[in-house]
Amino acid sequence: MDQQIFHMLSPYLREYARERKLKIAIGDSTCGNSAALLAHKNIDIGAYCCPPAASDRLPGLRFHTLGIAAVALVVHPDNPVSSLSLDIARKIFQGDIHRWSGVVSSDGVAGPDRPIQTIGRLHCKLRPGHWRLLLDNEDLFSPGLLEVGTIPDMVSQVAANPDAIGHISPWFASHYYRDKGEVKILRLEGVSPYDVDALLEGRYPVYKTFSLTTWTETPAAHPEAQGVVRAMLQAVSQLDPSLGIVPASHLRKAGWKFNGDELVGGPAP
Amino acid sequence: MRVLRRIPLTIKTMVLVIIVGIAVWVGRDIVESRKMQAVFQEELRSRLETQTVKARIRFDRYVKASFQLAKLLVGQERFWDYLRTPLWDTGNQDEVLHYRRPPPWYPPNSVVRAFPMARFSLLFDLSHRLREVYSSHASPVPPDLLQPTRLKRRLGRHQGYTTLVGHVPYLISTVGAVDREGRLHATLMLATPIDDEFLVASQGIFSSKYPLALLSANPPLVLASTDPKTLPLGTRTDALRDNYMIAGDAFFDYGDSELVSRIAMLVPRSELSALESAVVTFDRKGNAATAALFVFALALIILWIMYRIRRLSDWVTNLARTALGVNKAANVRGGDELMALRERFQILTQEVVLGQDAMRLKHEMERNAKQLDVLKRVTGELGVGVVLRGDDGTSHWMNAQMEAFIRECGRDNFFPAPDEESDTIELQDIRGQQRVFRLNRLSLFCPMDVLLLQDVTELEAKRRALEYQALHDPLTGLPNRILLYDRLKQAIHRAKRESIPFSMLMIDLNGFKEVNDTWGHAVGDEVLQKVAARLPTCVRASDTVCRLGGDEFAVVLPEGDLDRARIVAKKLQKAFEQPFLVAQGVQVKLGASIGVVGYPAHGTDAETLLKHGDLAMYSAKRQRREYEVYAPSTAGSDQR
Repeated sequence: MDQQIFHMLSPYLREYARERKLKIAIGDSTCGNSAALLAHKNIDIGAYCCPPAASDRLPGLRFHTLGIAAVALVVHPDNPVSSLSLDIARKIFQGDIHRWSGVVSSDGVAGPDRPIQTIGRLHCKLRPGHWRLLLDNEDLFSPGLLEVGTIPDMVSQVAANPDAIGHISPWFASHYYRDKGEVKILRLEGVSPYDVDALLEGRYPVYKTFSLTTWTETPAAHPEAQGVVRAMLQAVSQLDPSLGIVPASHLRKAGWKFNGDELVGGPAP
Repeated sequence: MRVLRRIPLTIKTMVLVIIVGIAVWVGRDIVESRKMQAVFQEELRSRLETQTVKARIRFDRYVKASFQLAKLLVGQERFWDYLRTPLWDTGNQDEVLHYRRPPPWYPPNSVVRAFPMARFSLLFDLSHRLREVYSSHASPVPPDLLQPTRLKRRLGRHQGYTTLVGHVPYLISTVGAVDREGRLHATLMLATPIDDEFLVASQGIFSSKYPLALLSANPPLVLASTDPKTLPLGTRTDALRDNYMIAGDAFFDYGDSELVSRIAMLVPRSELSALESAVVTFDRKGNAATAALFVFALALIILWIMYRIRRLSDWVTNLARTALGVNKAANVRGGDELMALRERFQILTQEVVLGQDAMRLKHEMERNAKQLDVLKRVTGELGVGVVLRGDDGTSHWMNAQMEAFIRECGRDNFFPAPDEESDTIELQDIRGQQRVFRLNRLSLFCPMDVLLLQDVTELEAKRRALEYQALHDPLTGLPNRILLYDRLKQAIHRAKRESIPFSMLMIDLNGFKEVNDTWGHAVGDEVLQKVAARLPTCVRASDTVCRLGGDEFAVVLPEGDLDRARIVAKKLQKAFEQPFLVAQGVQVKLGASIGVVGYPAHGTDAETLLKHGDLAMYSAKRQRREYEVYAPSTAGSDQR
């Protein structure tokens, strides 16, 4: 189970298991780990933080979108820049803009005359969405991009380097890995990644999609697992707003496109 | 010192423990702090050296990877495809083509990111003429790179190396594009300034708390640093030593490089001091905590021991109170707990000893009482008064007989009389009768003695009667011969002692035989009694008149010489002039023959005097004289 989903849903899962006297084994892991275990049919339910890639769509496997959460751009706290347009952000990560002095913040503040160090965690490269909403291909990112392997590395590197800019879920930066260092969360297109209403209305352009999977065909299909997923789909609506999650039910109401339980497109213009 | 003794032992011991604890801690702290500082500095230096070595190794790999990127670029298919395009063959060979985005002969960004970022990629043709330049940062190409006369000479050497371009150190990698036949088609040169950005990038995601710097050996300058604010380019290394501890002294070069440099980690000495202080403080707190814990544990032990001592002390007090009835132990004041305990033990010991003595005395008294009871009963049967008398004359005990004596005779007649020498007490009882008691003293070798009183009144009377009978003539009541001897000896002793003479008269009645023959022995006895009554009237009371037997009498004059004896003899003769009237009306006329002897003229012992008296008396009888004083010739003695 993806780290953020694990922390979101594990209390509800334990409560669900206690009420129904079920034994549910929950693992704190990654999308890639879920995909590998699902491929071997070792688990009943997988959890993803990204929309599924074609290779994830195994026969009999059904995706249920839990909701979406913004992906924030973060810089060192000393960096005067606090807001970027999506275009500027893309140019920075592409390497077309090399120095902060070449960056004009949305609120008109210019950056210092320092080189820009882009930092990326280009995980789940096969899966659409998330960072790929910023630049759809890893080759589009600057050759000078410093790739980190973990979320805490992203936080600590941005927090340590005044020239850095990276991307991360705001909940990780401001809550879960706050001990790794302090970073500054930028507004994108003038919108805060904490603004769930803006996210719901499609005004925040970079976000990640959380999904659970169930098996629909025997022998892997398990009725209890389907019950768990249904319960978790309902539980998402009860999550603490500080987690920045927009539940799938809200997305449906806002006109986002679904195929069954799976989110397949943004809101209608 | 007295004040110190009065302070409770708990407080004294606690204060001592705290003082010793603090002294030990302070002493240990001084030594340990110095040791800790030395160890800390050594450890920090060692760790910094290790980190610096790791940083240098990362930097070294990063530098070497640049040459690998150059080889990768030249070896990829798209590079050769580009060399085969008309653009390369027919391009304007006099103009340098500048790219702001990756040129067509560049691999994808995702591949390039795996290598050190080449700031400038320069492509030369066969003639070593610069044809194309790609600046990854869109920064202007330094003129020295655009006219790389010096660098050009190295183009054919296909190597990676560091060199100075202008005054800036550069990493240069040159690789020739050589086809399978060995023909050179172009030469690629990647040039990257080794600046702050390069140094940071070389460390990847590694971030050190302390700044890293690339230092040139000669001149000793900072070439690049991860903290340009505090370590700007061109700072002299020797000027840094005052403010920084510099770790990492291994110099290195790369390729045919004229640049010798080293990677160093610099720790501000202020921070080092703060760290040292923090570590020492932490260690000091640890030591203090240990010392406090030690003192606390010791205090607990002391309190426990003190508690046990107080319990023991209370136990001693209670024991003294309950078992011995002594409250003194509870009232011990002054001194600490141990002193109080010692004093209470002393009191207890004294009381135990006294108690033992008292017990022993009690047992003895009980035993004595039993013995006295037995004694009382036994002595009660004996009829002897028994008194236990102290050396002060006080009677402590007496038996019933003694109590009876006191009732009959009065206490004052018996007590006090501890020092009297007499063994006989003669007194009158309350009825006025004369009583005689015999007193015996038994010493008990103790402050008491035993008085034994025996009522010997009757016995004494009998004794005296017997004595009287033994010494007196039963017919006349006059002293007999035995008593005469005794009185005579006494007179001799006295005469010898006082050198005075005395005398004795021996008297024999004349005509007494006829009385007996005429009127019988009864009249004779009566006549003798009358004679015996008349003789004492002729002498003093101190003189002794004796009947020697039959009709012989003797008179001892202890204070009379011969002259007085003669006078007494004449008085006696005169006394015989009157007849003796007996009961039947018979008048008896008797005469007397008197022999006189004197001491010491006629003898110095009783036998001699008696013998000479007899001789003188018989001489007087033979010669019918009134008296005769003894003379050695007897007959020739003084005669009348």
